[in-house]
Amino acid sequence: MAVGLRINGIYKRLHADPGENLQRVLQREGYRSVRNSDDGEGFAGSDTILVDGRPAYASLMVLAQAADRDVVTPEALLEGRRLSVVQQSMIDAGVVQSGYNIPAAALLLTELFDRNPEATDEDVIDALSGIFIRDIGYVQFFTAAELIRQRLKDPSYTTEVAPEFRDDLRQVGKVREKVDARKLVTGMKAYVEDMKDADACVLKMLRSPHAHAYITSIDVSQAEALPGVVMVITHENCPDRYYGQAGQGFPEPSPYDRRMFNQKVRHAGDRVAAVVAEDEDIADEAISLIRVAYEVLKPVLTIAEASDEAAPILHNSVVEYVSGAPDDLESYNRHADPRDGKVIYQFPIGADPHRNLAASVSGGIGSIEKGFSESDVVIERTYASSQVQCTPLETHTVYTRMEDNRLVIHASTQVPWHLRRIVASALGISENRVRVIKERVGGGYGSKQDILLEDVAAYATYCTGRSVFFRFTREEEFIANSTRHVMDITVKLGAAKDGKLKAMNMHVQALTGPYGNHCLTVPMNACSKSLPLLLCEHVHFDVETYYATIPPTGAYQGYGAPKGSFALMSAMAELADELGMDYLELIEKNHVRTGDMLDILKCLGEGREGAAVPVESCGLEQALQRGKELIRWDEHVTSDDPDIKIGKGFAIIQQGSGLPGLDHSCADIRMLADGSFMLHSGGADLGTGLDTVSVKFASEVLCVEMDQVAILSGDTDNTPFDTGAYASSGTYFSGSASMLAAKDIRTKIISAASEMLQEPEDHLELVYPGMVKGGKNSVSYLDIARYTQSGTGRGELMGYASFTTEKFSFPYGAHFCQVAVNTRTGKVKIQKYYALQDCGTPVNPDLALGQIYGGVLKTIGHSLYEQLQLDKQGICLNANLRDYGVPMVTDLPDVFAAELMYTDDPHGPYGAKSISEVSCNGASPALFAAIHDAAGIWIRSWPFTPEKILRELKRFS
Amino acid sequence: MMNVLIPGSLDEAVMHYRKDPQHTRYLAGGTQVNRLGRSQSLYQGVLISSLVDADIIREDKRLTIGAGATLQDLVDHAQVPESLKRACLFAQSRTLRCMATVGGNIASVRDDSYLLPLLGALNGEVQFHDGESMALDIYLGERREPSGSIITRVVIPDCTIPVFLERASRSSQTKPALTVACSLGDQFRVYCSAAGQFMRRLQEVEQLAEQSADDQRIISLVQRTIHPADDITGTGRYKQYLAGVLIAQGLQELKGKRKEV
Ligand SMILES: Cc1cc2nc3c(=O)[nH]c(=O)nc-3n(C[C@H](O)[C@H](O)[C@H](O)COP(=O)(O)OP(=O)(O)OC[C@H]3O[C@@H](n4cnc5c(N)ncnc54)[C@H](O)[C@@H]3O)c2cc1C
Ligand code: FES
Repeated sequence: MAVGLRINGIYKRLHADPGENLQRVLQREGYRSVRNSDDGEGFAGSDTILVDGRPAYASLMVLAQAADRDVVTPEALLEGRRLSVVQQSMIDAGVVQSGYNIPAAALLLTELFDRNPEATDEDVIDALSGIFIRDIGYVQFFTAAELIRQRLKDPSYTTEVAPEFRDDLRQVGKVREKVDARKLVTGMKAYVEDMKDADACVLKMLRSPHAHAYITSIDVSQAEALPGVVMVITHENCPDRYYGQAGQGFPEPSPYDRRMFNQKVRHAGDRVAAVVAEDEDIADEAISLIRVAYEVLKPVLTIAEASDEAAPILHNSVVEYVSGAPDDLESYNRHADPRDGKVIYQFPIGADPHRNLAASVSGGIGSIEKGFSESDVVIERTYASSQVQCTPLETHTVYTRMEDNRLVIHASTQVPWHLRRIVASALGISENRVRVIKERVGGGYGSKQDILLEDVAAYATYCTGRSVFFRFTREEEFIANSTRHVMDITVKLGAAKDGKLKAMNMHVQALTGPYGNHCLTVPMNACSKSLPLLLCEHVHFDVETYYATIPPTGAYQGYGAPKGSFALMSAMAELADELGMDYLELIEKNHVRTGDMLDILKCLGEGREGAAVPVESCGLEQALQRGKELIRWDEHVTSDDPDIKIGKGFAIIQQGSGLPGLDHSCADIRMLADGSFMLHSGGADLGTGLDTVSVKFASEVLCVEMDQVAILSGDTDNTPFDTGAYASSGTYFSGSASMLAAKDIRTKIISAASEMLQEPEDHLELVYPGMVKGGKNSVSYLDIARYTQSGTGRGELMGYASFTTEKFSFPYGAHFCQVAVNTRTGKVKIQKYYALQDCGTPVNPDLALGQIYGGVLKTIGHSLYEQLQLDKQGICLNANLRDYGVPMVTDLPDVFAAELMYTDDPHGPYGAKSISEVSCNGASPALFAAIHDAAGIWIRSWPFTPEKILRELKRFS
Repeated sequence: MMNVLIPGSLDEAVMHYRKDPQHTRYLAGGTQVNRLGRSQSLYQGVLISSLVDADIIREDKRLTIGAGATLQDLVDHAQVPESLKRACLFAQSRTLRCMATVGGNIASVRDDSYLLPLLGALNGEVQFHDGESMALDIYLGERREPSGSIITRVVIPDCTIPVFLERASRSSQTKPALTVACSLGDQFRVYCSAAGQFMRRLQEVEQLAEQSADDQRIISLVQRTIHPADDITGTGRYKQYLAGVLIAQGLQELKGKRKEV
């Protein structure tokens, strides 16, 4: 049957079923930007279109509802090859980062400004209210709107969208168009889903309905017999190899405690069987035909349950060590259950899996006994933080195919090389049989550091030769994707009367969930990224991480730091109260400063020997000073409504810039025949602007405009190695590699020019735009390229660099907020939020601000709204975006501003440090302190819900 | 894939529906029926959007809303009272408001509807395709939808009476724990819907409000009257508490307005 409708102004008769989901129809018809992020929940808005001029979610319509109507998709906004005013303004304002919902936002803003060219910020909020954006926290849409408003009157209008830094540099520190922005704003082919071939099979996963069980039998015969089913994989026919899903450098601290499929399921949503079929419907039907019998075991859901001596054991497995095995291993393994499989450690991580202990570590400096005995005031408090989801808009997606006898993986990943290694090892093939191509990533936030689906799709392709597409549903994203580890952190602080810290003790108890992804390093980061903020002679920490049958955990932006910061900073606020001292004064007495030595890091090396580290750049003082002014720290604010109490809070924060001694990034750059450059970076740009950073560094070194440097990144066949984008390593590591590769080619350019100009190399310098200047003459890159590539010259010029370092650079910051607590309803309203952050030289200032807003709003969500809720059987009760409670544009603080505190880091490339992860560390403790300042209560567990506030206020019992 | 029927009239739509009420849904905005794609395979859809009136007509105090009007139509209409706009705006996604119809909202009888408690408080009346009409209370009591009657209009006899409307939710767009609406026409009307307890009119509370000005008595009566379950929005106890204080606040505010008059 044909259904007629007008799409983007063109009348079309679509030969499709009128009952088909409109989003799918539009995708099939090539309107790629009408995407799907939540399987028709009507929340994320990736499928936004206009129907008769009004916004609609295409997934909430069937084709018949669009019959004879005018449908507009984001594709309509492009005018030939020219961007529309709205699209260009969005790019200029820096809102295009991971970009998955950016075409939808462009469409909504277009509709708004068509309706009302003078639309206000409030109208912008209303217009964007139907889309979810996780990466940039919405604020810069107001800048985009200002540009649109003005450019509709005067197309040449520009304004300062972000402050610029470093007058001595041409590209670094300046607002420049993000290199992939055009592609993303227009909705061009960019993400894994866009790479799928028409004949690709679909992979669907049968997942465990039980949190903890043995599979006693599994019958897939009916499923296999269904026409259109290509393969079914279970624990009975998957490779007998152990590995971990954590994308970390080898040898990983995370244990190898799983096979592709296991006989034991350890969380509701664990893998039971994968079906590969010709299409989705067949795959769904096949899944319904699989018969599984389970021996159901008691779930283990809390820290108390997991650490109990009598707790059911998740991994009663045979334990092996690659190095450092304990002497009693044989007797340890005597009672292992073969159905539980194995756990293999690369080296000891303080684990005792037969007691559910996945990892543990202790350490410290000085003597805390001495420190506490010398203290006038001692407090001890426990802070609990719940399980929170990354919720990338583009759910985990992979497309695998064979090219000759090699496996090609189109991945949405933060770690192309770890992915290659883990997949090769899981399949038992050599790494040179695998190519990983990192496509544009529609949000990762850490969860795409873990190998959550690529192994299965790759195996299916490798076995069958068929191309396989596997995409997590939004529900799978909640139940089978990495979350941040659940943690209870007990902090004990001792101080002298004057507020000087005497002793700090931090005891972290965490849940890693079913498998040990990052089980040592995330909880350890709770200590290593918070304790060094404060100077104290006597410091101790203990970390214990337990297995539990909750949804999996893993990496999440900030790693353990947001939870460690919450605990330590909150305890400092409580200490100030106990001392009767101003909280800010207490922090000022104790915080770290440039030149200080961080002795505590001696015992906090992530799975390797640590070392004391000096602080060589620190913008904390600036940040505190500025925050104090902005929030008017010394002024008390009251409300006319007696039920509304207003209070202020703040927190200081830090993170790292990659993992010195562990991370490793490489890049190469070639001069092309016309003197322009092709940069190959191993770095995995997640949308944060890493490619732009690399291009800026290279063009800065080479004295050319950015458009003279094209970039290809994150392709394991065509770009050199990089450990990946995690631990805030992008700018510092991958960026440094690009900068050094450019410096390497610079020496070769100079050498070639020296031959051409007949002048010694040390008389030559690169000058803008793309010239080498000597004492007498100069020569252009074009001439150099022609000379070197003439067949008689030295050949194509190429620079290469491999960057490793032992030097640390810490980004710092302070976040201040003002809240209004309604003591009758428990509602917390954030009236003001200021994030002041030091990232050294802000390489992309506009994008840096977006990273801050995004990090803050995410953590506001974690602190106030978000929480994965499980029932007593471990089944997730809110596995969708609405019920889970992500913050939308309608949740923005009334005033929300980020500022960059410039410092010049001696080790970072052009003085730069990291920006994004650190942004996640402030909101929770700042809100904690502000709620206390307002209402006199301490809410020591996430999220700070109205109900908890009312209970703490004793409004009801 | 949904089997979609496109009737030429409301009567024909009803006929389709009544043939297989279990597996048939009307498609108005489609935001409920098509949500999560699940029902697209469970139900056949009878497309009624072009058949149901979407006009909004204000005649003095009387407001007539076509069931096909969307929540955004109400927000955009100059003569719709603020309280009704506010209820629609509680559904904070503009995109959703542009799709969701008033008829679909009423017929969906969800415990998180912001519109239903308010329409209850405003003494709303629903009209059907066959010319029949009934008070919203009665309709909701009977859950008329399975019978296949199509709502064509909602009539609010006096949309100028003072009302109090409040809802509580963790974030702006998550499932609300609670919505309360109170009004003061000839008498108080008090409605509350809480997650885990479908909307109720609290007549005992209305009566007490006429007799007593004591907030505490109102609060404890509300708390004894409703029994929402524990769920992801909070415990039943929390919702009872909140319903009590919000309704007490609403009634106080309305009493203040009565005095002003
Ligand atoms: C993200 C999201 C959040 C939501 N939040 C809320 C919320 O907070 N509160 C809330 O109440 N709803 C909510 N909804 C549900 C829904 O959007 C609204 O209830 C909406 O008003 C339904 O209207 P519709 O026109 O889309 O109905 P449809 O989906 O077309 O139909 C819904 C039901 O109503 C019946 N129906 C439709 N029109 C009529 C009619 N004229 N006469 C008789 N029966 C009819 C249909 O048979 C069907 O059973 C939400 C939906 C989404 C996607
Ligand atoms: S309904 Fe499609 S992204 Fe939400």
